[in-house]
Parts: sequence; structure tokens; C-alpha cells
Amino acid sequence: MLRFLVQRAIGMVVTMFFVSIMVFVIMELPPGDYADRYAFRKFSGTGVSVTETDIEGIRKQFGLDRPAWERYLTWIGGIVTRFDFGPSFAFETSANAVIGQRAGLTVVLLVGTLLLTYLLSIPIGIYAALRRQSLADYGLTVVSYLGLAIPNFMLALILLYVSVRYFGSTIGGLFSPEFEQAPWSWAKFVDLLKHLFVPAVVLAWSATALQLQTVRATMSDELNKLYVDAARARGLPEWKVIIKYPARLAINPVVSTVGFDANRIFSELPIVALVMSLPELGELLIKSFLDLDMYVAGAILLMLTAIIVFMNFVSDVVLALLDPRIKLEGG
Amino acid sequence: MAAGDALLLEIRDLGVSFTTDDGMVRAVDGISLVARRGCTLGIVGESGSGKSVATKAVMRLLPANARLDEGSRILLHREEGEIDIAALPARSRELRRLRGGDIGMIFQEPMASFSPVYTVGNQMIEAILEHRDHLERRLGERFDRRSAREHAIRMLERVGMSNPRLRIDQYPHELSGGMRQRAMIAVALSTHPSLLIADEPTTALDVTIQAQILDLMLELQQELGMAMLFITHDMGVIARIAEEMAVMYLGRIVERGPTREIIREPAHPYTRGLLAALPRLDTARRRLTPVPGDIPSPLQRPAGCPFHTRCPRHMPGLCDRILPQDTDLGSGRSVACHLFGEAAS
Ligand SMILES: Nc1ncnc2c1ncn2[C@@H]1O[C@H](COP(=O)(O)OP(=O)(O)OP(=O)(O)O)[C@@H](O)[C@H]1O
Ligand SMILES: [Mg+2]
Repeated sequence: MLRFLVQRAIGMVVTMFFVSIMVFVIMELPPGDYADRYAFRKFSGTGVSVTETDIEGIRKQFGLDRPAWERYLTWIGGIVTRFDFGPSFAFETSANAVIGQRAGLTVVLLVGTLLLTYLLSIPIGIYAALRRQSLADYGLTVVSYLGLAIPNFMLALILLYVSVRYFGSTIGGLFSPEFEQAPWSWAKFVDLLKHLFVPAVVLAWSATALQLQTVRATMSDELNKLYVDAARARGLPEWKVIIKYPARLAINPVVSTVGFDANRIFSELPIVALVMSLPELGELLIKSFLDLDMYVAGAILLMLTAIIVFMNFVSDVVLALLDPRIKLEGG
Repeated sequence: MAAGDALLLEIRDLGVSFTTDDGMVRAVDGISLVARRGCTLGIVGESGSGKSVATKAVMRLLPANARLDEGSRILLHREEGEIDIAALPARSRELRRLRGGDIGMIFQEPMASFSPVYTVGNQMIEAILEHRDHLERRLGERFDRRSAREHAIRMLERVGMSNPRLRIDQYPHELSGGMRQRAMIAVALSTHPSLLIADEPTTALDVTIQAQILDLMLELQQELGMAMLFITHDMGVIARIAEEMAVMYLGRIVERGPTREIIREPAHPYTRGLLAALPRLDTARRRLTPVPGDIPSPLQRPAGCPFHTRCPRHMPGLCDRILPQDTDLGSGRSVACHLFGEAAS
């Protein structure tokens, strides 16, 4: 097991190395650099004429004049040794400061959404498989197709509307107005959870619909396997047969797609965050690209991929724990 | 026990139908059988004749689309008294105590009968602990987790597994097919059932292993004094293992009686066909001659005798119209065929 963990961990580091190079290339891709942009923003409309030497000076100031590999090494070195993601040009502070809170919020939303997805889809999928072709099963199938068909932003808008109209509360943003500036307290924390719940539901919606069908299909397959009858023939109570045997295997495909789900959630997050005015990373990523604030963009890309790579690692390990047929020694 | 007449299992008028998208499948059409304590009853028949369905009915393992006939009786005669398995509620404690307790079962596919994600020992000990009370009555010992493990190891050793202390913590995929079937036998016998149902336990194994498993089962049966219901489509296996046999065709029993008598002098044309299909040493040059023709679809059972569509001695006007009843041939034999019934005389 230890060897397996070490192997996978090394794999994770190697992956991240290549990812970091790709991210750096992406950071280099947009035409023009921040120096042009900075000069334009700072001096346009002021009547000052900007010369090529001025821009050159700015470039030097930000270290943009050095060769790419040197900048890569400085950048990645800072991240690895000091967890310093470099400066943010647009906000004239560090990328860490810009990203800070948003990263935390994004991770909380991600984990919350995943938990919600699995807590709903696994038991419901198993139930649907046990009640195959019953009214409840058909009902769930219809609901889950709706889940796949309704776009997230629409669901977000509907939920926003309903909550404002009927509950008189805003669920947009992170906090209710009265807590916005308040110091941290239990009440403020609860308020935060309330605000995160709706976006988590919106984000979990389609993933739940999808996973529910996966669980149902796997569970239906497993239920027909001979080992289930064999367990019954040993005299186990029905609930024990179901939980210990087919249900245990029915969650494998869910576990193996945790990284995939994380990826989906990240790509859906910006739209939902926009609708619900949540300060998260995706929105900032788009903005930083528009501003050519490349260290911030790079930091976000790196973080999001790191999270996904880590989720895949977790899913590999959990899967290996769940299924002894997976060879722990092999690559 | 002298091949005592003590009844253990008595199946009366068992009928099973399946509701399917294509219509009603009559898989078992009113069969009656008895199994005696300490004896082996073999059930033989081609694929689709309803052998598995009939035995699954005894364990009440039929799927939700199956229905037992109203009058079906599956009587188990226990020391505490007789019980009708067909009448037990599906999730009752009584039924669970029978499954794996009084009646053990092994299946055709040794690979698929174990869950791949638990060790052999896990699935074995679970059964032993589930039937603690039953085992206490049988062996006078009450098992806890530790002693159940020891018992499981003894059973694995008993069925001829080398190094049982190691094997018990292995996963099914780490064992060979023959080993897995031995393990399955160990699981079924670890609770000392009075009846073992074996549904083609050797079909999936290669020939040498088959013979070893059969020997093992015979040995264990004598040692534990249990009855066996042994299903196969191989007449050779039946001849070797079963004192009595029943021949099934399309959900009906067409002939039954002591194995030796039937093999020496088969009555029903179908039994004769099956026996002719058996390769023999003394006629090794003869090619295998299976019963010619195809089994009719169970969705459209033929009228009259179910076998008349393939019967070499088919009597038009009689066999295709009237269902033959059981005719007593003496010495415990009976046959359902118009050649022997009053209609023929
Ligand atoms: N779940 C089911 N739904 C519908 N029909 C079924 C079902 N299970 C079995 N049958 C039908 O019942 C009939 C008897 O099947 P059964 O499995 O008992 O045959 P068998 O004698 O055991 O054959 P084999 O030697 O292949 O195991 C078959 O025609 C089969 O199609
Ligand atoms: Mg069968």
C-alpha cells in the first residue's frame, strides 16, 4: 500500500510539473504584454505621450524583459519555495492577496458540491435500482433527465427568484448585509453556509442527475450477479445482502470519476458564480486574462489543475482500497 | 444410517411461471420429488428444462417476476417438525434460518458465486456467525468471531485446500477455478446443512478437477450424513453420484427411480436418448449422438406430451393431444409416457 501511495504521489508531482510548463506557455500566449497595457491604462487621456523607452522601463520594472525560461524558473521557484505566486499587476499587490479568500471559497464550494452530489446520488441510485420499473424509479428517471437538461444558470436564476420572492431573503453573495462587515461569529458562519447551500445545490444538480443514473445502472447489473443469490443462500438478511454486496460495488464508478466531477464543477462554477454574485476563482480567471494579469491567471490555473490532479489521486487511492482486484504494486 | 426412508424434502406439484415481456414462461410445470436423508437425488435434463428454477424455488431465490403455483408445496421435514418453504413469507426469519442453515447451496459458476471484494474467509465466517444457533444445536459449540475463523480454516482444510491459513485471507481471484469450487463447498458445508443443493457444481471445471470435486462431495456427504440434490445435464455424473434420479424435460419430470435401474433399462424415449448420447469406453468409436431436434420454446409449450416433437416413437393423435400421466413401473420407478400408460394398452 505504501509503495502504491508513493508511486501515485510521484506521478502527481510529475503531472504537476508538466502542467506548470503548460500553464506558463498559456501565460505567454496572449499578444502584447502587461507593459503595453499598463502604459495605456496609466497614461491614456492624461496628455502624456508614452515612448518606446518608457514601456521598456516598465517592462524592466516588472521583469518582463528577461528570457522566458528564466521567468519560468523564478516563477515556479517562488511557488515551490515560498508559496508565492508572483505579483498581480492589475491590483498592484501580490497574486496571493488577490486570490486568497476566493481560493478558500472555491475549495469549500467544490467539496460541498461533491459531498452533496454523492450523498444524494448514491442512496437514491441504489433505491431506484432496487425498485426498478416502479413508479418511483420512473419518477426519478424523469427528474434526473430534467437535471441534465436544465442549464445551471437557469436553475440558479429560478432559485434566486424564488428565494427573493417567497422567502424575502437574498441568497446571492456570500453574506447577508448585516453580516457583511461583522466580525466572525457562529451566526456569521451559519449565514455563510446558508449562502453557499444554494450554489452548491445548483452545481450538484446535473452531477447528481448523472451519477444517479450511473449508480442505478451499475447497481442493476450487480443485483443480477450470482454472488448476490449466493449471499442470500447463506441466509443473510436482505438489507445486509444489498449493502454488503451489490451496493459496495455500485459506488466504484462514482469514486473513479471524482476528478472528472471536480473538473465539471470548475467549468460550471464561473457562470453560477456570476449569476449569484459569488467571488470565486473562475470569474477572476477570466478577468485576469482580459487584463493580461498573467501571474494571477497562472496561479488560478495552477491551483485548479492541482485540485483536479489531487482529486484523481484521492479517487485512485480510494478505489484501490475498495477493490482488492486492483493491483497495488503495478503502475 | 441405512439408506433409511426418512423423508427430508418433499416437493409436491411445484409449478413456476415467469412473466416476461414476451409472455408467460412456464419453467416448471407441476413436478413432485422426494429427497431422503443421507441420499443423493440427481436431476438431469438438457439446458432450459427448469432444473435451476426448481432448485431456486426450494431456496426461494426466484426473481420478482416468478410466481409459484397456488398449490405448490415444498416440505422440509426437520426434527422440530415439518415446514412448508413455499408458504414462508419472503423476508421471514424462518426462511433465513433455512437458507444456509438446514439447506446449503452451491452454484454452477464458482467464480461468480463469491463477491470479488471480500476475502473467502470473510464470506465464510459471515455464514457461520449467521447460523450460530443452528451450529450450536448441531455441534454443541457456540462460535464467536475467533472460533468461527478456526472452524472456517478446518473446513477449508477438509475440502482439500492446501495451506488454509493463508487461503482464508485470500480474495476469490487469487484462487483457481477448482480451488474456488472447493471453497464454495466449504462455505456451504461449514454450517452442516442436512440438505445440500448442488446446481451443476462441476460443469464449469475441467475434467480431472471435475472428478476430484465429485469424489470430495461423495466423501463429505457420507461423513456428514447429509442429503444432496444434485443437478447436472451429464448422465455420467448422475450414474456416479446419485442413488435416485429424476429426468426433467421442459419443466416436467418424465422419468424417475433408482439410478441403477434407469441406466440399465431406461423407459422414457427421452431418457434413452440422453443415455445414448453418453460416450462410453466400450463404444469409444461411436460418435456422441445427442437427442436430435431442438427444445421447443417454453413460451409455446407443445400440447400433449412435451417431448412429442422430438420423440422417435411419437404416436400421432395421442402424444400430441394428451398429456401422459405418471405410470408406476414398480420398484420405485415411474415414467410419464403413453408407451407405458393405460392409453397404450
Ligand atoms: N428470470 C427469468 N425470467 C424468465 N424466464 C426465466 C427466468 N429464469 C429462467 N427462465 C426460463 O426458465 C426455463 C428454465 O430455466 P432453468 O435455468 O431452470 O434451466 P436449467 O434446466 O437450469 O438449464 P441449464 O442446464 O442451462 O442450467 C428456461 O426456459 C428459462 O428461459
Ligand atoms: Mg441451470
